Amino acid sequence: MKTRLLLLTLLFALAPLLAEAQTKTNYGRHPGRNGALTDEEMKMARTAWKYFERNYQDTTGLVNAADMFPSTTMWDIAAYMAALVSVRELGIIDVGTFNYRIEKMFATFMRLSFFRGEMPNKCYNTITGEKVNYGNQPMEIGYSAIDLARFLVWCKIIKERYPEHSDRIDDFILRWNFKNVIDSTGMLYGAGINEKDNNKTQYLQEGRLGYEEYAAKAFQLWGFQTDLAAKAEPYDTRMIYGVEIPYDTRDPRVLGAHNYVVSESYVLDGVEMNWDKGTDRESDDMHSTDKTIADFAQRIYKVQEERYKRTGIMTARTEHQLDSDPYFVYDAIFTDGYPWNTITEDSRYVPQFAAVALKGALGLWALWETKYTDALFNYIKGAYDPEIGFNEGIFERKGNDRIKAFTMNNNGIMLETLLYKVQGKLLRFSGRDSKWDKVLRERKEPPGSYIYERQRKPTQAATTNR
Amino acid sequence: MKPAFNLTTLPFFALPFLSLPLLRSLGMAIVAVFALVCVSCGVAVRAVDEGAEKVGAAFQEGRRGRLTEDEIVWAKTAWKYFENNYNPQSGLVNIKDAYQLVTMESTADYIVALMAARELEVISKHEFDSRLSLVFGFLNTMPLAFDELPNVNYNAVSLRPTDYANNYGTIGWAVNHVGRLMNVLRLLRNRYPQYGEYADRVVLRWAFCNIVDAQGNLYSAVNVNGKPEKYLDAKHGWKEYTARGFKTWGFPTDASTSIEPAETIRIYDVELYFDGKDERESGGNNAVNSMPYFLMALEYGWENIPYLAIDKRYYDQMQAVYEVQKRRHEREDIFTARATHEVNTEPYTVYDAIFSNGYKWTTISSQGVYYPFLSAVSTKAAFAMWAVFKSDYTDQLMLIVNHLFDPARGWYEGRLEKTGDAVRTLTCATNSAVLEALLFKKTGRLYTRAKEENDLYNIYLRDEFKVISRCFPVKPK
Repeated sequence: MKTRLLLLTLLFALAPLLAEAQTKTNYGRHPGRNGALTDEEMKMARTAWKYFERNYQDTTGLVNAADMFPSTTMWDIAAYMAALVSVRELGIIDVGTFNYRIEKMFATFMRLSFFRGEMPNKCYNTITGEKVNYGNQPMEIGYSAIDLARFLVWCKIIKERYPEHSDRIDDFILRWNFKNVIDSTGMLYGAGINEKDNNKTQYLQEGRLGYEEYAAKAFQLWGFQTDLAAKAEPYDTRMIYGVEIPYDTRDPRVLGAHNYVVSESYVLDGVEMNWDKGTDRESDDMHSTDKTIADFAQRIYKVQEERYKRTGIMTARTEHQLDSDPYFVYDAIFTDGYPWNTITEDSRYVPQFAAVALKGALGLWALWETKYTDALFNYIKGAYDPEIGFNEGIFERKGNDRIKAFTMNNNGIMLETLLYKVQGKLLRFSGRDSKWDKVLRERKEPPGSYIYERQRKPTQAATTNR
Repeated sequence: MKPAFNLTTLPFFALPFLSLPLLRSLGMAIVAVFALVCVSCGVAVRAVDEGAEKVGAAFQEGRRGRLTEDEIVWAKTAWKYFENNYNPQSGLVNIKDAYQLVTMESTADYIVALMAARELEVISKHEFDSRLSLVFGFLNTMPLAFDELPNVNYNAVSLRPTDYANNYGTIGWAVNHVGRLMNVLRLLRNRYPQYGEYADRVVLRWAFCNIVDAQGNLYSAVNVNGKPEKYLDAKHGWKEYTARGFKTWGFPTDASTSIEPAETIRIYDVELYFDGKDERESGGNNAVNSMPYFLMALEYGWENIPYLAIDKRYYDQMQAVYEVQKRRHEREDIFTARATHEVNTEPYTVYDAIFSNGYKWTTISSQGVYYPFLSAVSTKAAFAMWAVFKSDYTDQLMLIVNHLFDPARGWYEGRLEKTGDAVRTLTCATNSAVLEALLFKKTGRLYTRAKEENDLYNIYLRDEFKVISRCFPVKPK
């Protein structure tokens, strides 16, 4: 009796400690920065959220991908979902607001018109919800496997975290027709219109090293087989500042698709999936199971730090928007043959647009706790407009002026990066059996098998937006 | 990370060439002794630099000895080009088959071919003399661009300056061409001192103020409204070869004999230098390919002659350029001997490089357009490599090159990588290189030392009134 009492007392005494241990299990040690946000970081999160308040369209529940430009892509919608989860978790919005926004958006999704009835179109008008081209004119133009993949990652994150939204997410994804987006070898294909061939749909292999593996894992999260795309090959390395930087060897001169090596794909893979395999449901955050990508990510960080050490140039390279022509650049660590190359979609060399991209800088800051990323944080923390959100970047060129463009992707990634500091790997599995799982089972087919209604041979040509 | 291929053994390669006649006469015994010496050297080097791999393989033996019957046929075939493309009115030889244009580079190639044909006994001394006389006559009378330096092109018949389409007009000078001619004139005047004074006069006609500065930077020039507009020219590879040409005539070349500014690229664990000036900013290309390194080797040997001091890393590069091409064959089963070569269709000249403009094993036009189907085994690169590196690889390489000729017209440019078909273009450069490689086999490096203090060139340089304000090197009296 006496012993039992003693044990009970002990238990009571230990209760707070055990509770703390419990939170530590939820948000265990993870690579890079750990812990609650500082006041400065919270202020940063609130500023980034400004973008989503200002650019929200209540007609559809969508948010403009660029400030005051009422258009968005599936990739950018994912950035919005990332922002929503982040501000909810950080206590910037309440659950009611979160639910309202999610419900509103998915109501739009349920009546969304797809590209030729297959998959969500590349772009939509955020006011009308219509399919549009990149110029926001109503028309269907194709779909991007990479954009859809990023959307799938965030659908997965939300349905695993918040079961109340699981069914409406699954209902939407069950509208998709996966038969042409993945082939039997597990390669990913985007779709476009071939104007030279009676406007037939043209499926082209999509994804280059970094993005391709991220996208392959995204499809794996939903039960699809993407083995070939998930492989890092084909790649080679280029020695830059003593670091062997991997790049995709599919030749941009022949295939047209650039093989840019940038921070973003590795940062997203780290923040959202901890550089784990798409099939990994187990490992702790200090252990990455996609060893190749984890290793490549280290090199991507190292070479940028090394550039700063050797040249004094603040470096956090990724693709980013501009406030003037050409509006978008691949601002790469390496692409199309050259280190520290900055090119347009049509391969023009535009070194004057090289910049520290804020989303890249904050991503490095969250995933690598070093003096260099401290410096990066201080370098970018003031680059915002209190009414609009964070600038896209800070130019490398003389004067270090800011890119006066504000985008959903940038502010969304900054928010999820801040949440990563608190929580680690953002994708958490509930182990729950979802509607998606049940539907797939009822078809009595292994997940993904119904996508092979029409088996296509991989085509030679390739194109990609990301 | 695998260790980089690093050539730290180069000084030892110089050994056999310091005493070539001796080596030849003593034969295998000396070779064996040398091999022993070098093995121990290799071990010592390995201890110092663990990054070096395949130290033994880096040992390089040039191909030397009497020409075989086949090789004599090869030489005679190459000479066919110079017979067929000889313009009796002027005495000059076309740069390309039936294209009546010459450059300083093609003229230099012709002089090399003449020397080789004479020494390989393809032509008589009399024919050599009569042909060379006409070349001297041209070089010592040709109108100079801006009264300073040879124009880029001349009509091979009328000998008047022409533009790129061979229409009359002054377009400027190309420092690489001038440098190549200065190298070859030096080889010629030292090899045949009796002709020295006429070679000296060719160089003494020129003004150097705008082509080389006090630091040794080299400039080409284009004609802008009748005045030369000069620009820094020559990128790594040809830059050092060109600088060596200037250096042999006593000009300051420090800025150009150094391989800096250089960047490195690693291919099959072989580290190669390429020009550090960004060609996206400066234009042109930064092609790394065989010829400048192998020509330097054929002409000046492996010795780092103090008089001709050049960055030691240039010799590392020569080794690496060979090694990386050999490894491509080993690993990909693609015969590789890359050089800029000509084709009969657009774009006519292709930079068929080990590395250029960001890509390895690339083939581009002067505009930077990618022509992957024009990649080729270059005949001239294969011959030069065969002469400089006696190895299984160059033996095998020669088996796919040694029939690439038209018996009546000379050697073709090469063999296409993607199809195996021949590139049936005939050029002065390729046929000259075949002869040069064969001459090397017979006599060793083309450069011979000569006493130069009392030659015409130096007598002029000591007389300040003779070369006044034309920026020749200052010689003490």
